[in-house]
Amino acid sequence: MKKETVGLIYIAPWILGFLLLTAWPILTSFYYSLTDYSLARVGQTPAFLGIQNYVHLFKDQRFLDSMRATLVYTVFTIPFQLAFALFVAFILNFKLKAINFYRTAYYIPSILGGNIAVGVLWRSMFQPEGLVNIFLGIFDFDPINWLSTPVGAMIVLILLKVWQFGSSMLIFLAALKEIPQELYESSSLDGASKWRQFVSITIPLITPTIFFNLVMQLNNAFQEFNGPFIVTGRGPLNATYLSSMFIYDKAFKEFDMGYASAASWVLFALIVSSTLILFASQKKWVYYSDGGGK
Amino acid sequence: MKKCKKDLMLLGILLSVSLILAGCNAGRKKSETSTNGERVEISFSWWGNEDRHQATQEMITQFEEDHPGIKVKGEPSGFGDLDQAFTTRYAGNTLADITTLLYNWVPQFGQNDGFYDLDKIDSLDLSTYDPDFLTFGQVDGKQMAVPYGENTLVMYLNKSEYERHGIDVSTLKTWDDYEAAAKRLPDGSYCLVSPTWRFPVTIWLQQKTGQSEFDEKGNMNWTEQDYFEAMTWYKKMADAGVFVSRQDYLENVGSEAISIATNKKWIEGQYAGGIDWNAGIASNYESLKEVGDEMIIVDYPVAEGGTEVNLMSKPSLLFAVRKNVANPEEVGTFLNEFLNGEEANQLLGLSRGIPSSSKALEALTESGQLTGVMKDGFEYAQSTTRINQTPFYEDGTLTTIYTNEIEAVELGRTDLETAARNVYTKTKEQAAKLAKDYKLQ
Repeated sequence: MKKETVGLIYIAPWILGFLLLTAWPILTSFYYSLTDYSLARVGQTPAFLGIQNYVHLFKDQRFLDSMRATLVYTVFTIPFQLAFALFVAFILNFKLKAINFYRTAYYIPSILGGNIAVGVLWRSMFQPEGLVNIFLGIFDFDPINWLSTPVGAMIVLILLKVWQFGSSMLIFLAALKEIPQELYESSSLDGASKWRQFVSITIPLITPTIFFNLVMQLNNAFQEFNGPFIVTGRGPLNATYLSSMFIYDKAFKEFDMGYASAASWVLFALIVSSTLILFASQKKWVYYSDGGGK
Repeated sequence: MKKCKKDLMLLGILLSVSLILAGCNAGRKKSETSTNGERVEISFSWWGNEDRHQATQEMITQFEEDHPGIKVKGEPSGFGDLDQAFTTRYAGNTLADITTLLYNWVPQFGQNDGFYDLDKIDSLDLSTYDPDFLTFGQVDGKQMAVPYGENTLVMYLNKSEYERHGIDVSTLKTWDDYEAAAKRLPDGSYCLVSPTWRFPVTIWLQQKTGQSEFDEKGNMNWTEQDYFEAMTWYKKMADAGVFVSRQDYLENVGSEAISIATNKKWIEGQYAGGIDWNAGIASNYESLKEVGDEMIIVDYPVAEGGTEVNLMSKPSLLFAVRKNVANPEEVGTFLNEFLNGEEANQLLGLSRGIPSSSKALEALTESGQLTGVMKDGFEYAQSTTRINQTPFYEDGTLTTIYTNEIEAVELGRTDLETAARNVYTKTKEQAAKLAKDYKLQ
């Protein structure tokens, strides 16, 4: 038997799983997005609507609001999360006692981040008499209405995501360890300060990792569901009603599968276009040692 | 090595084929009847809390002892994501033989014989129900589901909390009385909390107009002016501290409508009363009892200009049988015991509220289980005027429309006139869509 055939047979379970459980639902959802398919209309054949669902989406204030909330969430979450992850990775790159303990401790939030217990705890922390306001009170700050104002609720959600910086941090940590120490030693001899070394050596050399984390986190942020679903719900004035929640509500609460599928494809198009823009931009700022990128 | 490779390949192929077959068969497997000799297996799914699970499981065990030829597979779940769970199972043809339903699922999924016609099951006796009440479970004249009990919106107060502030609850008869009472409660305390502001507004308009929000065909019974007046009244009450402000609710409960039984402000008396469905108030009562406070059912005030109380009423939950059920008579035997059986209902108690079957009610009364706040709520609801809700009332989008608009008013983003116009136009639009979905027009 040919080597290629053997290889194909080995990966057959995955390919079949992918075709049946991923590719087929994706293609089907595109077809549904062009119909009025509703689970509530049992036994009726969905009518073909063409692009009507898509046209309606862009007139639907609820959808537009959810897209706006998603963009706000993404734009504010990613820089903070990446900066924080890099900062912690930088510290953990020093030779510290019990460094393995710290690495594990900082990674734990990423594992816990989306679960119900953390959601409940997070919510209680930001209540009027919660821990956060008690802490702020020590410094004579007035209590903040975190959960009852649109801005406050969004901040709570962003902080929850930023707190889950563990996976990005580990990737940054691996990248930092790859930087040759000689570069730092020679720059020290030339009188470069630590900050100068960070800006001129560390950052440029880890730009591929920054790029990778940026793409991954961008994709995650656009699809965020657990955080708002557990902690803030829609939030005041729908401030934290992200597009994934809109899709969920349309599909599983209103049974409007055709419309929900169209919304999913719009979100998909947004994610793809953002990713493509990032890929196009890497020529300007990402440094690859093999000459790719910048 | 070569043989090992071949074995591995074979294993890979077998695994993929079995995975596919398992996937394709997933829906069917559950729908088939598994038999052990002559024993027939049927399944029953429900949602609820631990008490309900325990009572139901005890009832199932007792039933299996009495009917050795039938094995009942219980499928309990929590209260979360009911729509999603049901829709997925319905679409995947993996519903249990007997499934618990929400009211609005009956017209949505019962069309085109979406469930088994219960009238065709000889072993199921529905003569213990009021024929009018059974219509809640009918679609196109067919009995697609059987409603379990009646759910009515009632008002209840933490009597102890009012007394601590020198207020005699028996003097609270009108909304003006509640306005006066709110002034005597401390800052941050409110007379009433409701999972959604739609409850008090709907009842207020039912009292004023004598009609429910929609007619049988799904047309609007109320005008934009009606909504404006009702929202103006509600805002006045919320500003006076009668109803919990939206800001307080967002901070202490959340943006979704959930039970306040375990809420800190309810337990501490800062939410000094509430409006909710009578089938669900037992847990509110119990949580106050634990801290030594007393919760009582009170007369619902009538809106100025209204003549009747006109509370909202709907079936608490319903039961349907899967359309392609393999053993309808065995399923009917179980359902009949569940709904009408004396011993079964003594075991089930009030875990699902008060049943409407006359035989079940008799069993509960005889065993002395129909007591306390549940009995009071039931008797109050039975003694007063009620307006049956169309399944529309359960639609989540309609509740969201109301919530969004009153939230915008209370948080100062819009005025009452605009909000009332939005509620009217968006509700009308959604009602037209639902009427199409439910094939009402």
